[in-house]
Amino acid sequence: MFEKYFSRAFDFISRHRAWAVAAVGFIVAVCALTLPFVRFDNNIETMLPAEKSMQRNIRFLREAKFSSKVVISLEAQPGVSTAALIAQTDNLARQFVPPLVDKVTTGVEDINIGAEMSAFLKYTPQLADAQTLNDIQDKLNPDGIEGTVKKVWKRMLTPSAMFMGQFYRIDPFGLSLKTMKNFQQLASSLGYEVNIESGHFVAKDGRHTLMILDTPVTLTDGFASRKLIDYVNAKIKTLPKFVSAQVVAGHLHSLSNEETIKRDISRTSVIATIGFLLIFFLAFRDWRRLVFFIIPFAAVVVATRISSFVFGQLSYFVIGMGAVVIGIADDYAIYVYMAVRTTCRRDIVKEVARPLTLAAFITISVFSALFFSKIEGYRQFSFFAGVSILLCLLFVLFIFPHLLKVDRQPAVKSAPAVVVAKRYDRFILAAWAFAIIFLSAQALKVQFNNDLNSFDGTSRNILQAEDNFHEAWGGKDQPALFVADAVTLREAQRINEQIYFEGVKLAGPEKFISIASVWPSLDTREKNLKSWEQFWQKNKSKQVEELFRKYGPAYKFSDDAFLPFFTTLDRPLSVVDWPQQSKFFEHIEERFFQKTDQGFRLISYFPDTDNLIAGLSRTAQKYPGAFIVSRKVFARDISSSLAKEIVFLAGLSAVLVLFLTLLLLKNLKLTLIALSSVLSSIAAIVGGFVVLGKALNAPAIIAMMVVLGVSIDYGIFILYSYKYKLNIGTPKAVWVSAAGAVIGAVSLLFAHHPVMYSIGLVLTLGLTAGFIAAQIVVPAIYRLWVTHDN
Amino acid sequence: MFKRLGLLLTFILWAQGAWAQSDAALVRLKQVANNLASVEADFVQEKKLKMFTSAMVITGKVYLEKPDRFAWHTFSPVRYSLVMNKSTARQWDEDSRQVQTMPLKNNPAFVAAIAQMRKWFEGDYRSLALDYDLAVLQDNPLAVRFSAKQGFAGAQFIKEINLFFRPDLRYIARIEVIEVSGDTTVITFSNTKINEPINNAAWEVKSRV
Repeated sequence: MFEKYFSRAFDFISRHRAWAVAAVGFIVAVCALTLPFVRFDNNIETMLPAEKSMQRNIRFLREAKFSSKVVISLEAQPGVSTAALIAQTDNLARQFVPPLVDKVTTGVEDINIGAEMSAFLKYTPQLADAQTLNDIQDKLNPDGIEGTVKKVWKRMLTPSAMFMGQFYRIDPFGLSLKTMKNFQQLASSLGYEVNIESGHFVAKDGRHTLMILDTPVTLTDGFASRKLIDYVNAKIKTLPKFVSAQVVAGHLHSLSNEETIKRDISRTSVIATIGFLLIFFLAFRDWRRLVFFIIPFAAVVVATRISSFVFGQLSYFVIGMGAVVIGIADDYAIYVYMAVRTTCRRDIVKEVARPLTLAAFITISVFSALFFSKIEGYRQFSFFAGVSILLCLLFVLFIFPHLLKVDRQPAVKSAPAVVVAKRYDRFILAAWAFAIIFLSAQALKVQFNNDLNSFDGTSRNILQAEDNFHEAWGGKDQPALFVADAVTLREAQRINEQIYFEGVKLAGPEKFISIASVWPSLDTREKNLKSWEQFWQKNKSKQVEELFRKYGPAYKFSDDAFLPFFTTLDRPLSVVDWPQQSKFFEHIEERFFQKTDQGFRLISYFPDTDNLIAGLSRTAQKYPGAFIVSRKVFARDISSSLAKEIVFLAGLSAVLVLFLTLLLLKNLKLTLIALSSVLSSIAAIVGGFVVLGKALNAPAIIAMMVVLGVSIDYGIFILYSYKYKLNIGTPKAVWVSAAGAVIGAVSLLFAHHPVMYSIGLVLTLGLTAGFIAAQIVVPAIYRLWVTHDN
Repeated sequence: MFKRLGLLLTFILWAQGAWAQSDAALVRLKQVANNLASVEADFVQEKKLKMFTSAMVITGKVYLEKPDRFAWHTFSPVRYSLVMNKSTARQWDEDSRQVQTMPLKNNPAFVAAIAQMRKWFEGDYRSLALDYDLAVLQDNPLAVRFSAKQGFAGAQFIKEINLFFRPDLRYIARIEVIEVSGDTTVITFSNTKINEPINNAAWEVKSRV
């Protein structure tokens, strides 16, 4: 029935071939001309599983704008003073202007700790908890006050009193000491070791300064990123010889990956092109026959346009895989070309249409498995690949034969149908079985590596610069973040405070860094203020002031020595959202507090360790709007989610291939024989990776699915030509297409980008094994199993 | 008209002269700092503070060795010792007779205050010039005034700091700290030894118990 309808359609188009060719040519031309209007998307979210926790983490990182910064670490040569380095830092900072740089930060306004604490101590009434009041109460007696006065006097003997004398007048009881310690922890929450000198960020070695550039250029904008980095480098070149600079930015990673891929593409293209040309020259000895590459290329152009209509924006990943699709689809054109040129008949297409359609539909089924993925990018690729292959099949069957010149004599000599003589069949089968068993045994030891860092092709220079940066500034081990979201600030502070208490229990006060340690929630501060007022009522402050006056003179303190402290007692400040007029607080606030579209967000920091993540994740579950952002956990979640996804998709595509091959061949034996090429490919890839000491990863498994689709084509083509005893040059067609594909794959082994190399290794092992199995094993099994039966 | 022009010219010339003078002083001070590796000196610190009814006079000995060793031992009115290195400070006083060791990372205010003081003692004048305006009080022996710049956070407390150098310009003879409140602290150094080996006992707190 298939042949009947196909024959009618083919004859119809043959009669109107000029119109058909013109119509297809017009459609392809329109699609090609409008390609520049297709919108592409380099957003990593498209390539991540659409799981709520992962998307929330990505959204958090985007809102935090961590990636829109360029950090410059300036280093002075030994012997150069910090002041000279600071002067050069300021000179450089002045050179950065919009539109590429919005803001330059070289430090924070110089903070005088004494002044800062004087301002902050005014909030003591609302910050003092029950424990603090008990501590004060213990000192409010003649012995306690005498001890306090003596302690202040002894402090005045220390060299620090040279600049902090005023401070002791405001805080004779040392109420601020705990707060000061907590302040210090807040300042070092990101793990960086930064000193402030003359308002500038200076490393502990005094030889490095830091500059942070805020830029509107996003990491995904490759063109603008290049412009930005060139701009920064040009400015750095103006520095004198005694100062050097190192740039740390996400943009550098994007650009370096892009450059690595570009270099890899150039290198592999040259190798692949030379290889292809050699093969075609050896196979056909006529350059004009390269025309059949145009067919799959045209199909991909039209499929890109159709996909863009369906999805709006297309992931770059889709286009990146376009070359792979062309590599698969050109097999159909080679197959038809060989058939037409071998038999000198255009209508031979009617005889090869069935295996071609069969092979194409099975390949489409492999890609259709990706349509069930949770990853948007994979769904786009599934649609795009399916449409490309379908269009290519239609072009190859209905248009391509009419573009070929048919000679009276066969233009292509058919290769012998039997590659290896029949007498070796048993030997071949035994050798194949041994190879499969050996490789399968190896495959049991296969390892998966889905660490996202292993996909990073950033150059060593950039990674070295980052190591140098961390050596000077610390911060190599970035902390995990505990985020508390709420609609109102009061609620956000309340949840954050509860989280702080639980965090301190688990991690300890020095490791769980929260703003709640110096600035409790509004609820708590209101309660504290009431307790404070009750504590000092009934002229208690006057009595204490009298005690200071009584015991002070023994140490030559004047009557008003501690007046600033008692003034604070008399006029407590009202409860406010955040401390006013505190420069230090203003500087750290951004790190701990964010205003979001939905309300308010408070962030705490803790070491990114498995134990703490596990314990604090349970805490996060208690509070709606609370969640943890951990770099390690995020990478692990992505890896595990990708691994599950990939295993599911690979399994699904394997089942689909098996089912469809059986359905279309309608014969279990033939199905198993055709699948021997697929089995060979899988065993070669998985076993080969183990033998070579490599680990499989997500891109490798996607590439394995591609190999699956191509290998089944080889098996079916060869099987068909044997079953129907077709002398249409199929072995040569398979040989040419496989050799072309393998050369393309081998060229990827010269790539430096880990993902490209990994894909190249999978394709090389899988296609080579699939090709050898189709050419040698499929005929041997067929002859031993089917012909004997007949 | 000419009189005004003359006044203006005089002012410009005076301003230029003053600037050139302070700049030259800074160069001389930088040389002092560059040549300084260690100092050992007796000191007398006199504090005239509003919180005290009379001046507080402290006598003692100070040691510093670049890059991060510092010792402050007082003999009167009480014996007190502070020895600091890069990461810790150890204190002892004759009243408590206890050695107290504290990690510096837990005492930011203390560290900040000591760091300020060391800048003056070690002669990091170029860095200080970013926060203070420099003026030459006298040429020989050199005396300079550092007035806190507007916008410098410390200007809320410190008005000016005057340094009086020894005639050989190798170290400071006297420091005067004048606070905005009117409080003053004057430290006078004597028996100063520059770049001479410092006895290990100077870095011990317990040896003084």
